Amino acid sequence: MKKRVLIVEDAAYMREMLEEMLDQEGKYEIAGFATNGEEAVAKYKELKPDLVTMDLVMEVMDGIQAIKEIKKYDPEALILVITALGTPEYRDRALEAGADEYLWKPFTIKNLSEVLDKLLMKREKR
Amino acid sequence: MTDKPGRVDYKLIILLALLLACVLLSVLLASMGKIAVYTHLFYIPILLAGVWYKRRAIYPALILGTAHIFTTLFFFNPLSATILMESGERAGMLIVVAYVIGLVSERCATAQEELRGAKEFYRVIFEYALTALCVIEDGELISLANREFEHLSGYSRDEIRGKKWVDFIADEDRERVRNYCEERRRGGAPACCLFRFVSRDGEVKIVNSCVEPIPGTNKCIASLLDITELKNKEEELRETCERLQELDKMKRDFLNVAYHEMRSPLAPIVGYASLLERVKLDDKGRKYLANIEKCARELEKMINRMLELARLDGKKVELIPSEFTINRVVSEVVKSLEPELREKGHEIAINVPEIVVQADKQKVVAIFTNLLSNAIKYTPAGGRIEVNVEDRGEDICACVADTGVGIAKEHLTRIFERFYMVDTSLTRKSGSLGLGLAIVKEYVKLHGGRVWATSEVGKGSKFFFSIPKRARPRLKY
Repeated sequence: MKKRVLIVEDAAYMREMLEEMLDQEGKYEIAGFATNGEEAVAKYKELKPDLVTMDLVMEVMDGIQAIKEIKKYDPEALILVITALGTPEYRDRALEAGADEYLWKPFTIKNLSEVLDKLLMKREKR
Repeated sequence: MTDKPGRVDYKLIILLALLLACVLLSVLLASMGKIAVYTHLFYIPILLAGVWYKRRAIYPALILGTAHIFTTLFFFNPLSATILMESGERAGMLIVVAYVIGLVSERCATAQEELRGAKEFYRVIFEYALTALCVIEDGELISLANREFEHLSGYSRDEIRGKKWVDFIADEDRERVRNYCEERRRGGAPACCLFRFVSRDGEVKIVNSCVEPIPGTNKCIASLLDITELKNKEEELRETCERLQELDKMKRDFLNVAYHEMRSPLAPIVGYASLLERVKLDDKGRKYLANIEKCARELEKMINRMLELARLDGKKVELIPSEFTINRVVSEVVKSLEPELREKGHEIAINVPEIVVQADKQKVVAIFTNLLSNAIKYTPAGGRIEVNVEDRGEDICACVADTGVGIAKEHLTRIFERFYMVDTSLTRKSGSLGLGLAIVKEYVKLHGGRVWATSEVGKGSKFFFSIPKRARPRLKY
């Protein structure tokens, strides 16, 4: 069964690209999109996806806050942060908030596939 | 004490006149046979001489004593031994008295002189000190003030005398200064006290003051230093400093934001390029794609360097030591730079023994990467690059040498400064922001090491750095 993914990303071209990449991987199917943190939380509650890719810098509600809210709603949620914020401080903050993995922009399809495999493997082990 | 030359010494005239009168009187009285009376008269000039001429009073005493003996010898007939002895005794007495008076008055004069000198000495110090000074009686009235105090207060010293000390202190500071003075008298307060001084025209000056009780009296000496200008400068400096800190923060924030905003559009470039790789392309398409990927990598590196600099400025850099062998790091770095090496056809020689170090691996990689990239970049095609690492016991010393364009002496000392570029003209070698060596320097410093360079224009450069084998974990600064 394909994993259902919620893509949270404010830039349209990134949403499109992520969709394309996940599509090509074959193991994933897009459950929906959100363009800010607030929408992400609402969509998560509505769609109950297996996996969330989360941008950090977004309007209305930032990614860190969204991670916290989603984790509060569902501690089992699987969240991959994809961001251009490159300092370890942000990574630490995101992981502290409850993110499971962190991927830096820019990345190739190979990078994405590897980090997703790692993430799912970690989950299956538990 | 002698009088000044050229002036009539009336004391000497009086003395000589008295002496003459005494001699004449003694001759007259002796001729009348009254020897016992007149010698008492001799003490008048002797006393005067003692007071006026100090120990030199001995000379008139000698003259008078001799005169006495001679008149005795001359007028007494028959001369008896008793009379001669008596005469000699009186003459001797004269001399002794003259000597003692002379000595005492000399001592007195010296003491007076010394006292006058000391007074003058302290008066000059008091008067001409560059600090405002005043004497306070009973902690209340000012009895004496110096020139600088006049200057500070705007009052003449006649006006100051009798004024209350508190009149010069701003209302809000009076209580505090009074307490300070009280404490000071009991010996408890610190030496100095800052307060607002009010001068004649109402101008408020900030003074640093010290109030010191004069032992054995109920007086104090207050010294006041006007530090208004210093305080103002301090304030200015503080403001400038705050402003600079703010600007620095703005710069860092800007760099952080710029970093994010520049990397974001890079994401689809790299991402789509990786997707394109999976699409069937002809040879031309492959070449285009390879170029896009290469440039995107370059751009990413440059953006990363900017971020690193922002972090270095923000003192957020940590040293996280781990154990690794230096030769493995060098070969990793060389391997990662292979495309560039091959492109320029450089020959590379690596002479690195197997040395185990405890250092921040990521940062050592960055140090070697930056130095080697520079060597590759600034060496014309077909050059030779050498990497040597020497084990020096406590630390290691690494050298990256090239056969490149070299660096002129005037630039050599500055190349490790951030943003410093040897060449900013349009003919410069492109692809540099002047940050690589600044990062190298910061990283080496973070390890507690040293970095330096030697170069010969046209022949090549050598970059050296040394780091201890055992680095301690630490935060920058």
